[in-house]
Amino acid sequence: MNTTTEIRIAELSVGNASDVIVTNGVGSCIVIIIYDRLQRVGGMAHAILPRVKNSPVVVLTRDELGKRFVKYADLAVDTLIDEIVAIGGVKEYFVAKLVGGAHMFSLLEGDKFGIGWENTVSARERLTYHHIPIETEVVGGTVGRNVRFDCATGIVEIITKV
Amino acid sequence: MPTLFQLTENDHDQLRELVNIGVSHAGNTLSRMMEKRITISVPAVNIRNSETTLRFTDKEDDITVAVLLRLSGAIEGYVFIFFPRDTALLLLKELSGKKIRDLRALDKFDRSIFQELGNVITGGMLQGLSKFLHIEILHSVPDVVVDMGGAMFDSLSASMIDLHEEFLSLDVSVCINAEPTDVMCDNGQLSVARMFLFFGPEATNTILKITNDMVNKTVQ
Repeated sequence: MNTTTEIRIAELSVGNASDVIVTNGVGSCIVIIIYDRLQRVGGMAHAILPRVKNSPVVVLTRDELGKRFVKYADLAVDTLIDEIVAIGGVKEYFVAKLVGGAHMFSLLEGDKFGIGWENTVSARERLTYHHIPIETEVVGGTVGRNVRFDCATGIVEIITKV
Repeated sequence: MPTLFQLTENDHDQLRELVNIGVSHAGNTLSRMMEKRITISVPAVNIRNSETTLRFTDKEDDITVAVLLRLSGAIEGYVFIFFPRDTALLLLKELSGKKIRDLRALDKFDRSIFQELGNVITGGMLQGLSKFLHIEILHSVPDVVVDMGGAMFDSLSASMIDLHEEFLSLDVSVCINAEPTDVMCDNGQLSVARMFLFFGPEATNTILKITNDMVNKTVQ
């Protein structure tokens, strides 16, 4: 039977073939999913800001479910890699998917680029740095998204409402 | 995490009172516009950061309408007015006579109704605050967004935390058409809108300096 873990803003979780990870209400935050299709392990992070401003940052464990607290997209990529390797993943087989980075309020984020765009760019750059290919991206636009990641298959379902 | 805001209980009381003054003016304007009785809840004062982000307490994937306005002038900040699905449809019917079942079907005209609601509520509130604090506060053209409530809070949190590592969140619920015996909006079923004010550390300090000076003068 599958175990479903919900992560919220600035949280990260990893799982194996019996796990499903979901996160709801993704706006300008970026959801980073890394998956090892051979070992069938992977993880998801819901990062709120693009880059670590004052390093070093200690990654805290959020609760008894083992979720981590990571607010920066670049640090979220690093932490996801470490956490997935720790449960048996092999970095050479990793692929990534990105979801989110929307531009919902032009008043807050300007007309073209904003925090959503910066989050996306930061996640892309960090994945490239680690030589992890981005398999799929559903980023940008002006809509919110719900995301469901099945660690058994690597399938990511995205729900939008408008 | 060290907090930027070392707010005392007295500061909390002053901020709550300030919201009461502002939102009462807004409620008065809204009441005249809609010809309905309006009540408001006790304002909540919270310090938000990435660990205590804004959480959407209802069904976060329900479609809702939100109006965002930027404040400028003597203090800078944001006003966020949030209308849950059912009340957004009710307000639209009351104000334009238009009956629709799905918020996703809002056209340009319908959105302008919510823009106007944002103008009326925020304009009324700023009038009250400006008079009380003796400062000039202006607001921008309202930005209307229709989407999942959770996603809007997600975007707001990200932008606010990007601007200020920590920020002050003041929120209050508004009830329309309350019973004559009701004196206060009870955050629950009757609430038709929720209003948030967001201020960074600089604006918060400016507000508290003014209110503390007022209190000290009164005491003397």
